[in-house]
Amino acid sequence: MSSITNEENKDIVTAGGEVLLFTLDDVVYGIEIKYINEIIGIEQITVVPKVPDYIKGIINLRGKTVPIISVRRRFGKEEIPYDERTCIIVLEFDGGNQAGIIVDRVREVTQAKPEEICATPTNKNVNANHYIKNIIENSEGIKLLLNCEKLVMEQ
Amino acid sequence: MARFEAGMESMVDMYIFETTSLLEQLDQILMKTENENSFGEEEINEIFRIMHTIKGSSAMMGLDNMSHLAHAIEDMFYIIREDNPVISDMKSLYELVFTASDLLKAEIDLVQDEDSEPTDFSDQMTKIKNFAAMLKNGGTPAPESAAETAPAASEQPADEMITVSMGGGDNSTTVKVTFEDDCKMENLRALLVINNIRNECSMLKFEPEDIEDNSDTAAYIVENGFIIHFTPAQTTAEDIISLIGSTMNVKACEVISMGGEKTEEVPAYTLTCAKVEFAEDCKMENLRALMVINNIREECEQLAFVPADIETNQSSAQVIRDNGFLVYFKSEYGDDAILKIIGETPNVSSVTVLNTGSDSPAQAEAAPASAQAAPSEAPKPESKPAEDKKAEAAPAPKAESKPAEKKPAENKSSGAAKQSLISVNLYKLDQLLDLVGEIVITEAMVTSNPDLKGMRLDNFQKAARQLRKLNSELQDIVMSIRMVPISGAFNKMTRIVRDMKVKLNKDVDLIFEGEETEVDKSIIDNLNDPLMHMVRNSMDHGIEETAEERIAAGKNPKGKITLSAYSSSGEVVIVVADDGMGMNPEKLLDKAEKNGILTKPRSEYTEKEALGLIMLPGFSTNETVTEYSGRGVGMDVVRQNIEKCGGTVSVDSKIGEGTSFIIKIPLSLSIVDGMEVSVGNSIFTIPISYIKESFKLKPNQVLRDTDGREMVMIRGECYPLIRLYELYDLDGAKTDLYSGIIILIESDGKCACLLADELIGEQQVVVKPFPLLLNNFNVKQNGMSGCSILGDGSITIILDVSNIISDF
Repeated sequence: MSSITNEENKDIVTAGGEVLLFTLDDVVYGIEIKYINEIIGIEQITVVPKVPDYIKGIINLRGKTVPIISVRRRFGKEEIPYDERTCIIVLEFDGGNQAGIIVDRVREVTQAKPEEICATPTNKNVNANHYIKNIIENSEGIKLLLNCEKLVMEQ
Repeated sequence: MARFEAGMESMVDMYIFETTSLLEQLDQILMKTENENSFGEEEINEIFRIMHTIKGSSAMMGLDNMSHLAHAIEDMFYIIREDNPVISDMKSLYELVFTASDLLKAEIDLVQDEDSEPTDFSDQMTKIKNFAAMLKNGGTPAPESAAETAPAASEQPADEMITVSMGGGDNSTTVKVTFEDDCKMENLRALLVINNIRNECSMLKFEPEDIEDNSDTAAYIVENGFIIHFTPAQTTAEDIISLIGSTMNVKACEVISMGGEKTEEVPAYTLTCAKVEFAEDCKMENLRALMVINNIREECEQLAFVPADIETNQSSAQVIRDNGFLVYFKSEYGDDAILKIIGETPNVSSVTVLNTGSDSPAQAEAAPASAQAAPSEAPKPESKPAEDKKAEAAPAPKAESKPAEKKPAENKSSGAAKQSLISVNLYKLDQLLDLVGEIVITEAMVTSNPDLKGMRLDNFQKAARQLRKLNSELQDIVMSIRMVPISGAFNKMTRIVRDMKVKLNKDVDLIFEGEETEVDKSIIDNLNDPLMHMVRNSMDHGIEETAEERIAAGKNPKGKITLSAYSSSGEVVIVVADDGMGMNPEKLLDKAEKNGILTKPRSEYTEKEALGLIMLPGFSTNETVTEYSGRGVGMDVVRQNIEKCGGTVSVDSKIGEGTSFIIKIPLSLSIVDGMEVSVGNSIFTIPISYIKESFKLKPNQVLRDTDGREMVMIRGECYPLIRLYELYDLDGAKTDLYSGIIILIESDGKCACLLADELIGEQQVVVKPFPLLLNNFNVKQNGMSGCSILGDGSITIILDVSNIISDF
């Protein structure tokens, strides 16, 4: 396990190191808890035309319009039909911008210890690295910590 | 640390508002005089007055640095006014005053920031003082004495208004006042007590003394009580004690020693008495009155006023409203001069002289005695020096105020024209607008409630219609409240043009057209920055470098920048046009290609698209001045700002003839009458103001041109047909022309037909901007202006009709 000490890791640790885990297919992903506003069930999504296909549309979240991103589409996977475990994780960024991401199922909140956090491989051929900030590895397995800003904002 | 005490917020708001408008006024005067290259007497007086007011109100707010700077300018203009020197260096004078005005403006911005520290203006002040000294030496020596006295007088601090003489008297009564437990700020409560009884007492002193300035006295009062020694002026000691007892938060008033009753007549014949009335609804009359006092204090040897506690007692505002504000004064400048100053103070609606001071020798003698005390005191008018010891605390003689109070009735009717304007905090208006928006949605929720479907509800429908009518009236009024003429935003540009003219050495005329056009206040606020950028661009890059170049191009050597505004079909159109050299689309494309921001082959760019390139972020930050008219400094900022308030920017340019930026902004931001149409599973809202008609097609109405584009023939005219499901790649829509519905839309004189599945109905919707994320994908450029939440919680997308049409 290669422990690293770059700025981002410190951020995670100072924020309590809490990470929300969710799954797509069989892969476990994590999102730092500081971004998470709430988790809601799937709602009626209004389609917005002429946007990339990973943006599913907008929803009405108590009077605010929130854009919804399909993480599956974002990662180039096929979409699967929504079921009762499908969730929208509503993220909030600096400045109050919100965005929701659709995930297959939410698992739990876990504590990431500094020594469990590793850097992503620098190999450019690994496409998914693009959205992955760090890798968390512990006895329960490997989790991919997502870079939320990139996931949502990058065009 | 907060700059102001709690409870002063409303005053801060008022102060900021007034000072900002005064500074804007100052800029305008300066610019006008600079153009004419001469200072008229009127202008000098005006500048003098503006600075005087800023000085006074800044001092009142405790902003000493601003007050001092304003003071320095005031002094300078005093010299200009009085000495009338030959000003050789007009340019430096303007530079000084403009810089000072900018500094003050910047400081005003800072004041709104809680944590800011006051800026040190001493550099600027030294410059101004040096210049003033220079003026003074260069000026004619004649009215030197006058010039000496005024600045000297005004240097005295202008805050101590309440003077308490500590001469004790045998007739005095001593009481101990205690306040309710936990009422806090006992020192100020004590001050309240003092203010309440001041007018009734010929002698008044109290312990601790420094209650006004020293908040530590609060603790002392809590422990030892608040001791007041007083001699009643006209009423009895009992009356005063009961007055003390009735003051807020006073728990007990315990008499320690009781003096003999003595009433004193305090004549004030030496003084001129004027009654000042303020504009109706101007609010906070007490503070306005204080401003009047501050304005005239330095000019008066004796000054007193009723009610006396204007500074500390908010309820005195009501007294002033009811009875007017009485000012007693004596001044070597003569009554008329003082009355003029009073009359010119903001918000004063009328000044009535109730009696003028007589000039009998006896009083003339008395005057010098107290004159030295002025202006930092508000001395009680006296005729007998012997009284000196006893009482000086009652600034306003009761005897005099009584007859005066009887007069208001007749004076009021003759008062100046009523002021029917009030200033309101924008935040409240925003809240009001939001609330109206919610009401509109709720109305839709109630009247088109699914529970009512299929029921026959005649009375309900009738009531619903009434509700709707009232709601739309409410909406209209709220919208109209928020409308302000655009001239304010335009006028700010004169200053920018003026500064750049000097800096770039270009001669340019700035012309306004349609500045009376009204737009929503929030739009104006969003317009300032974009306008500034565009005007700067036009000045910097649009207009040719030299007059020779212009002459060579066959143009007037003087450049022209036109700001125009007009409203058309629910939009405000603002055009910033220059008659400079224009932009060359080829060169723009060259540069874009170099920067790698072209998104399609160069040959596919239309001229308009090429011009639009300057709005791209990558384009702007690069070079500012180039060999071609390399506009684009901050143009992406312009676009962002305009899009934030739902508008669009486009560029139009002809080489050699000039460039115009055209901004279109929806007239009202938030509520739109819309027609909802369904296309597949989506619902779109088309603003009704754009819809001409809707109908079902007949087979013989459809034609195709040689490229296969469909057109619809209506009453002998041909319109392009846009299938919405095709435009937006939507599934599940009706693709058969004859089963869907055709909506004929019009914008800017151009028409088109939209094909939708069906009309759902008319509804008012509250426009919400798209989430920021979606703006990254240019939804605005794809004919969608915003979204809205319907009564049932679903979202509809509002179509930007003019954008759809212009793309076809």
